Amino acid sequence: MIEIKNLTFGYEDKLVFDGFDLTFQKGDFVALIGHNGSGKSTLSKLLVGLEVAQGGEIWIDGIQLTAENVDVIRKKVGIVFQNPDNQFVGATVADDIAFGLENRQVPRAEMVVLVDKYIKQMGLAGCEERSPHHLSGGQKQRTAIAGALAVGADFLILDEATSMLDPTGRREMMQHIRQLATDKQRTIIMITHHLDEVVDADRLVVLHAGKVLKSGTPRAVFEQSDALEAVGLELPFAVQASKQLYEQSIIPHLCLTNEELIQALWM
Amino acid sequence: MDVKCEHVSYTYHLKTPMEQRVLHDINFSLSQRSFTCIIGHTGSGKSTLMEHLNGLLLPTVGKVTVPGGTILAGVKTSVKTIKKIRQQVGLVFQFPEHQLFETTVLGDIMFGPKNAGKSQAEAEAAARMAAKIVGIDEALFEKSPFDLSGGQMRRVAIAGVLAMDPEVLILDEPTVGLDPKGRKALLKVLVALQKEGKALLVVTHDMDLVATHAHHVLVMCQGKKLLEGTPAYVFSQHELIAQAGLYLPTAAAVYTQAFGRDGALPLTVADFIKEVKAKRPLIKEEGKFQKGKVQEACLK
Repeated sequence: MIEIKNLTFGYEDKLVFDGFDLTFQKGDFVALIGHNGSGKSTLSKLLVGLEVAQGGEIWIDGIQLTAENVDVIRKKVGIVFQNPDNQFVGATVADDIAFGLENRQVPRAEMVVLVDKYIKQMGLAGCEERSPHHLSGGQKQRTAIAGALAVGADFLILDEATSMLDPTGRREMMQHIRQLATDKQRTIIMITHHLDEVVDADRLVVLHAGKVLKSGTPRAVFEQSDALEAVGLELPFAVQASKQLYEQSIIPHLCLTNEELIQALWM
Repeated sequence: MDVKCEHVSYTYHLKTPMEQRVLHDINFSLSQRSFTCIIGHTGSGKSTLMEHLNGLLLPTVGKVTVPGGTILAGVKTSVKTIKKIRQQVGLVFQFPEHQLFETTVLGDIMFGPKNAGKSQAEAEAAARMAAKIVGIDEALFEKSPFDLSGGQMRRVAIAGVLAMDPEVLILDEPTVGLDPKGRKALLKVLVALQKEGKALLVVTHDMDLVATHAHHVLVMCQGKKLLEGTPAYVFSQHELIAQAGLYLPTAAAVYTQAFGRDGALPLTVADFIKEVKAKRPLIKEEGKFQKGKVQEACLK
C-alpha cells in the first residue's frame, strides 16, 4: 500500500501540492489522469524519490520514504517514463532486463529464469538479442516494463508510457498492461491523459491543480463527465456518444466501452 | 496548382547492395486553402514522401512541382531554387520542440527569417505575426523556450516555420504527445492557417483528426499510394484501410460493428448520433439481436 499524507511540494515559483492525501491499495490498477500541469508527473517523481517533498509523508508498504532509505523504496517501486530511450543501459534487450538483477547480485541461474519469464510475459520473445534502441516504440516500453518487473517491483508507475506510440503500439501495450493487472500481484499506477485507455482500471483518480478532483470506479467518475470536460479532459467516444443517446432515451444507460455501446444500441 | 508530384519514385542507397525502393510512382496534387492528411502504417513511406516536397530528398524518378520551383529527377536543381523552395514550403518535423535552441522565445521564432537574410526589424515583425497566429502571448517572448509547456513549445516551433511565411505547411505527427487541451489549441491554429490560404499537409496516425479536419486524404502502403479521396470515401474502403494496417475513426468503427456497412458512414460523434437515430425505428421494429434483418431492411 502507498499512503501519501499531507504532502506539500513546490517548485521555485509555484506550489504544486499543498496538503495532498492519497492512498493506493495493494494489487489495484489505478489510473491517474489530469491534463498537463495537474501535478500527476510530479507525484510520480515524489513516489520514487526523484523529487523531495517539502512537507508531509509518503509511506510505502509501511516504510516511510526518506533520504536514507530511498534505495529500499526504489526496489519496490518501478517507474517507466514517456521516452524509455533515456533509461536503457543494456546492449541487448536481455541485458537491459538483467541490469537491475545484476545490480542486486541475483545469482546467474535465477537471473536467467527471471529474464526469460518477463521477456515472454511482455511479448518480447525473439527480441532478446536485439538492441533496445532498434525496437519499435511499443517494444521499447515493454522492455522497460519487463526490467521493472524482473527486479520484483510491487508498484509499477507508468508515466504517460503510451503517449508516443502509434495506434497499433498503444493497443498492444494496453493489452499487456491489462493482462498484468489481472493477477493482482502488484499495484499499477498508470498516468495518462487518454481516458479511453483507463475504462477498465479498478479506480480512476482525476487530478486538477494539485488536488484530487474525482476518485472512484471509472463508471462513477465518467458519470460526472461535465466535471472532467470542464478541466479539459476528453471523454472516450463511447462515453460521449452514449451520454447523448441516454439523455435522448435511445439507450438505457451510460456506456464506458465501444462494446458496451454496441450492446446497448441493440437492447 | 500549388504542389504536384508526378510519377515520383525514390530509392535509398541507389546502386549499392543496400538499395531499397521506398516510393513507387506517386502522383498527387495539393491546392491552396486545402487540408490534406497522409495516413499509413509506420514504414509506409509517408515521411519519405513529405521530405520530397521541400527538397530534403530528391526523387530518383519523376517530377515534384512546388511553389518556388520544380525538382526533376536526374536534373541538378540549383542551390538557389532549393533555397527558394524551402522558404515557400515549411516543414515541421515530429517533436519540433526538440529543435528549439535560442535563449528567448522571440529569438527562436526570428531565427528562420534572419537566416533567410531579413533585417532584424523585418525578422522581428515576422516573428511577432507568427507568434500571434499560433497563440503565443507576448508575455512569453522574453522567456526561455525551455520553460514552456510541451504544447506551447510545439507552437513556438511551428511559429518559427511560419515566420518564413511559407505557402505550403507540412507537419509530421503534430498532435503526438500533446494533452487534449494542447491538441485542441493546435488544431485550431491549423484550421486558421488553412482558412488564411495556406495549403496544409499533415502526416498523422490520428484517425479522428483525419475524420474531423481533412478535406482530402492520401493512404500510403508499402511505398505506394493505395487510396485517395475525401475522408468519407477513404474510410468507406474497409478492406483497403485494413490492408494498409490502419484503423477506422472510432465513430465509424463502432457504427460498422453495430449496423454493418450500409448507409452513410459517420466519422464524428454528432454524425454517429444522427445515424443511430435514423436507424432507431428499424432496431425497435425488428426486435432484439436481429442484426442481419435490420441490415437488409436498411438496404431497402
